[in-house]
Amino acid sequence: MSQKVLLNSKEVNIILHRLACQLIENHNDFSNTVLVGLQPRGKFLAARLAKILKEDYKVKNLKYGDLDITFFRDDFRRGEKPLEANTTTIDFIVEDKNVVFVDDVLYTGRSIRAALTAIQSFGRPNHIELLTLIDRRFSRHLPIQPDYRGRQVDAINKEKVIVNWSENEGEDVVYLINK
Amino acid sequence: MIFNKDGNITIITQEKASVKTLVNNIEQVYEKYKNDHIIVRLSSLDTISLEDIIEFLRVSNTHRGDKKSFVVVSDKVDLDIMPDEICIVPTMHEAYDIIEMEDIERDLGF
Amino acid sequence: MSQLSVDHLLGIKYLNKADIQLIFETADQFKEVINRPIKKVPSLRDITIANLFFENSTRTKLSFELAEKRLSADVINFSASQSSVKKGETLIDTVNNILSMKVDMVVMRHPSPGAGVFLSKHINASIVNAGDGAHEHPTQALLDSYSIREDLGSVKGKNVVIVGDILHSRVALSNIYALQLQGANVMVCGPKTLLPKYIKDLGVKVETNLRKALEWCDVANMLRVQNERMDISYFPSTREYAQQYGVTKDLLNSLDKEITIMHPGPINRGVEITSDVADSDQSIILNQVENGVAIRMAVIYLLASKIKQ
Repeated sequence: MSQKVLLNSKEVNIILHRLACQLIENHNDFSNTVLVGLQPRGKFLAARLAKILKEDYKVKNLKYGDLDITFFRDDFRRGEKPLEANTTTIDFIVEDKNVVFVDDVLYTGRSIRAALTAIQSFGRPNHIELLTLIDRRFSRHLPIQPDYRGRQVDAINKEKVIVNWSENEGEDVVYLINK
Repeated sequence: MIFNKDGNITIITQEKASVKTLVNNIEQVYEKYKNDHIIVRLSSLDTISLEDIIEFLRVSNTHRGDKKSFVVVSDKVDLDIMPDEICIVPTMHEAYDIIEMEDIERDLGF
Repeated sequence: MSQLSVDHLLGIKYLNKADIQLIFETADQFKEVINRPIKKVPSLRDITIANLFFENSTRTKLSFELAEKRLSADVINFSASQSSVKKGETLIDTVNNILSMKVDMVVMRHPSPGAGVFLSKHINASIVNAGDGAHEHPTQALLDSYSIREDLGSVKGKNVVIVGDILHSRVALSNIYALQLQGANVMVCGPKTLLPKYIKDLGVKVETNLRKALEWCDVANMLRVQNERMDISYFPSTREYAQQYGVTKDLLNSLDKEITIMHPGPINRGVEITSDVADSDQSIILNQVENGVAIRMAVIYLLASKIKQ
């Protein structure tokens, strides 16, 4: 198993700031926008972005939450691994709001499809966008593309992209792992 | 009457005798079969009356009291007027199912 | 562990502690789902579930049906036919009907103990026991423990007393198994005629004095007086039962700590508990009902996830 660093800590942080600025360009003061981190891993990216937006760019009253999509997946009973659900915390209404889905790696797009259905349980958003740190460019199974992307990566099936956060694993780094 | 054995189940098939005689005969040889579950197949071509079925009550109660199953098989019986204490089913298949269900109940301590 | 150790839910006696933990964690997620504006998830849309209720039940049946529909499953209902519901006969007939309809899961309530075990041997579907005679009622016990966990933080180490007709109660037996699995201290309290002879073998404390039981406990689970399951020889009159084993607000207030009151429903108001107790802050009865749907969703979801495509 070999491991290659795709993004080191400095690069990750520069990208996070760039993404934050791109969000502000489109969403201004976020008065009509909510960030939704996709469980289990988009949650950390969403929390980081929210922190940067609040502390560094002084966005007030930023609403963000976490969405678990386990019950909306299309591979229920079809996989070898049993599915475990995580917590959903959406304590705001998405009706008529602009929703930005936040996930760390965009791969086949199936998680996003599930998220698109899942979010409807909370109302009808005005507009939905997708922000992803890593876009595995040619790996899509569905016609889904990000609106904001950190870095595009061409990875093959046997490779896995792992995103570590300093809060969890001690450092901000993105690895490409050959299984 | 004919006696067949299937594992720990004894199947008694009525031939030409009346129900009353059948019951008498069963009670006389009861000691021999009291450790098996018992299925009694009635062969009448006419409807079997409640009075006839009641003849079975004594041996059925004794046998079931000893934690064994006692099932009567006949499709010539009006099930709605039959007493709850007697187990009557229309087919052999169901008789076997009854014994299996009662075994499960006994396993669970009921 | 992300899968149940069993393929059917026939009784608490077949579950282990990890199973219960998994069911609770999954129920947590479903509890959040049923509080959303849109309360459905599509997970079981290719699953067909048959509800076979050979005994009357409005609440349990409704609760299961709601859980199944929230999971987007297709639901078919069979109720017992009125005439000659003889042991085995109707069950097998119905089973044969179902087999021809490609049903994936069966939720069954039947008067014979072990009916679910029997069914699991004869049909190729996942069986959920919704109550089999005086034997077990596993989903009730699960939602009861789940409600205690929600109210008091955990079940382990808590003193739980089950009050009432223990002899005829499948709710009592399943609760005893579940509570002991999770490390609670269990006591049963009721008239001597309604306590089974083997009760001490189960490792529970026995008390015939209600006040003493309530002073000992953190939680009191009040069982329904079941008229259809017992005849008059077990207890002189409902009035006398209420006087000795009914919980009133005065009785609760006279204890030196606030205990939690539970009841599986439907409540015979004025018999097991009075209205002011049922409606008080100490009662978690309504939570039990809500939790019932979440727990049943969890059980059905977890069992379904083991049915391969």
